[in-house]
Amino acid sequence: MKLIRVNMTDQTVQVEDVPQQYAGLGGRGLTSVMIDAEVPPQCDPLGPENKLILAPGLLSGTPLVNTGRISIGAKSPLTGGIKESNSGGKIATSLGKLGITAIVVEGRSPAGTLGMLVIDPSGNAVLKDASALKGMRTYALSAKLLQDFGPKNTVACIGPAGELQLASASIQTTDVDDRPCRAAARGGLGAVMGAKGLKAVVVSTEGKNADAIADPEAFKEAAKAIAQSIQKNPFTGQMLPALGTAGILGGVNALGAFPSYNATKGVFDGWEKISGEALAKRMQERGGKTKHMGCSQCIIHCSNEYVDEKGAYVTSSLEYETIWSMGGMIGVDDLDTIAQLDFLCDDIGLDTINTGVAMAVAMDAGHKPFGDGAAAIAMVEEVALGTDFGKILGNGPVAVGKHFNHHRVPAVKGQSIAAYDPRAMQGLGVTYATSTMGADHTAGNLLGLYLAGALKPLEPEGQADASRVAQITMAALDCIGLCILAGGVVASAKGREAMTRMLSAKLGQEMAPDAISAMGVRILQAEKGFNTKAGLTAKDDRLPRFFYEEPLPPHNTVFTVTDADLDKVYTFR
Amino acid sequence: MITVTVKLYGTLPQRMPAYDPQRGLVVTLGPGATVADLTRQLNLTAEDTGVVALDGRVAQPEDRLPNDAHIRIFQVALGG
Ligand code: SF4
Repeated sequence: MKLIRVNMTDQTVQVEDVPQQYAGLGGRGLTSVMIDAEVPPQCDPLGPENKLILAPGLLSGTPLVNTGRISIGAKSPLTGGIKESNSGGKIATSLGKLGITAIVVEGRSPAGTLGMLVIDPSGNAVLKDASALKGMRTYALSAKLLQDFGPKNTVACIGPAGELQLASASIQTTDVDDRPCRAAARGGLGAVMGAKGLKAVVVSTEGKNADAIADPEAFKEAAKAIAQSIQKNPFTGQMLPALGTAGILGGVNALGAFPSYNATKGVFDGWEKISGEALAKRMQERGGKTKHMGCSQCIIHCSNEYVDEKGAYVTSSLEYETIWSMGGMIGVDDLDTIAQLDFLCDDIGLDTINTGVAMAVAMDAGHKPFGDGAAAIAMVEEVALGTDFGKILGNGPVAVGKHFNHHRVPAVKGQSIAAYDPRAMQGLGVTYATSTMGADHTAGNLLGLYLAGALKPLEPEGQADASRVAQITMAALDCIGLCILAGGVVASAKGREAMTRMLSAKLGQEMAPDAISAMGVRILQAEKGFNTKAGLTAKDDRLPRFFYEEPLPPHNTVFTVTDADLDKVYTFR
Repeated sequence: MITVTVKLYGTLPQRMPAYDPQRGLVVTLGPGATVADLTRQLNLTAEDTGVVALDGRVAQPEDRLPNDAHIRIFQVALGG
């Protein structure tokens, strides 16, 4: 249980025991509580006072399945508020096995210098000069670092977008096949890393110093129950391995909630060409992989490997959200183009969601026609080249909207919505509006309730309460480090009880039956507190006007949840 | 009797060996049959039947099926 504090200003690394105030926290719980305690809320997100925190989940590095998830947090240059962005790959498990609770990057490198942090199998961390890596894209960079430091390492890094400090810049992490295709994409954390002058973090995968589990037998038993329920569930046990997250694309279109052509239609004309079924069929024909392990310890394997007509690797993993942002949202119905855009964003170090939506706003404003895949590829390349328009695009949809003086910008707190339209899924609108993260589907997705018929998607009633419950659960999952796709297991009373037992066994203290909810509430309160001190108000918890005014076909509904209901979401009993 | 065409999504087709994704399934039901009657006939449980779209609109289990209807059945899923 140690924190590694890296001071980029004076280029020092210090190791300390985890202070008592952070005990029992991991992942988003740790990043958010620590940012609230240590980062001046009014600071410049790209200045030396901000801190970039990389924290594996509380259970990352333990034998529990699907815990290879890392939270990366800071004050966001995109939203102006607190940010946690979650990624997979190998880094969370590797840090957990080294007994490292978090890496805290502070200060700012002397002008013009670039560094990298290297952590060896004993957990010793050193800062090294990385000026030779300047400008490198993430695929070439990761390959070089794994060659220089050896294959038994994993990498978190930024590409040109992060070095340019653009507000859509991601931090890419290497997957189990050592490709930098997993991303802490949202909120511009790559820009924070770039501003600190940190190009990469290289972490040994050979650690053998994981924190002790207080009651290993009880832990093992509860972990087994959770693994079994993940395997038995039709979504995690069958659908995700067969079709990946894109398997939900048909259902969302059937609900008329797939924002297309910059959120002017709820059903995409070419949805059957870009669906999970179409993707799986194509990969079967070409010899790609529809079932692929993206993150350590995963038993679901939602990832895929997209290959071209000759069977050569194009990208991994082509996910639902990217197929939407680089597909339906910009009117592109060609999976090959979407896959290429996905690769480019990973390679340049860009959030595919924010970037796709930024292009959709540009197209809606008349800059390029919807459906022009070649123009989309050229636009993304401009970001890496650092052209004037590339910088605007790389700063996200709000920057693009301002540039073109175009009002249809589907973003909240500066961050774009994801692949569910709030007019056809009102509860997602509540989450987008109120989440401390800006418009973020992972903060509280209600799709499962809509598909199961448990909540009416078009009615305002019940949406605020459902969003609150989901936001609490998601915050807790991000703290635990359990992949949210596996998180459905804690939705059942039995699963929640098993998870509570497991936390008790890990921490060596009896957890109350409501411990998971209490954990989620504590995190949300810390985040809300930080945002309030940073100057965000209820006005920032609103959707853009056009969602209230422009009906979305085919249901022709607008967003109707009241402001009063939105303002109640962060009221916790 | 009525006849409807059903397309299955997700992993549902894997349950029906003869399923042709291009043509879908042609199912014959009694007059006045509902969406629930259809899912029952296809042996789909509530756990694995998500949204059912009837002629492009979301249908409820009690909705009656018109003759020649086109139905798409999706699975229950969480967010991506
Ligand atoms: S289900 Fe997908 S995102 Fe989750 S841990 Fe597995 S590969 Fe990673």
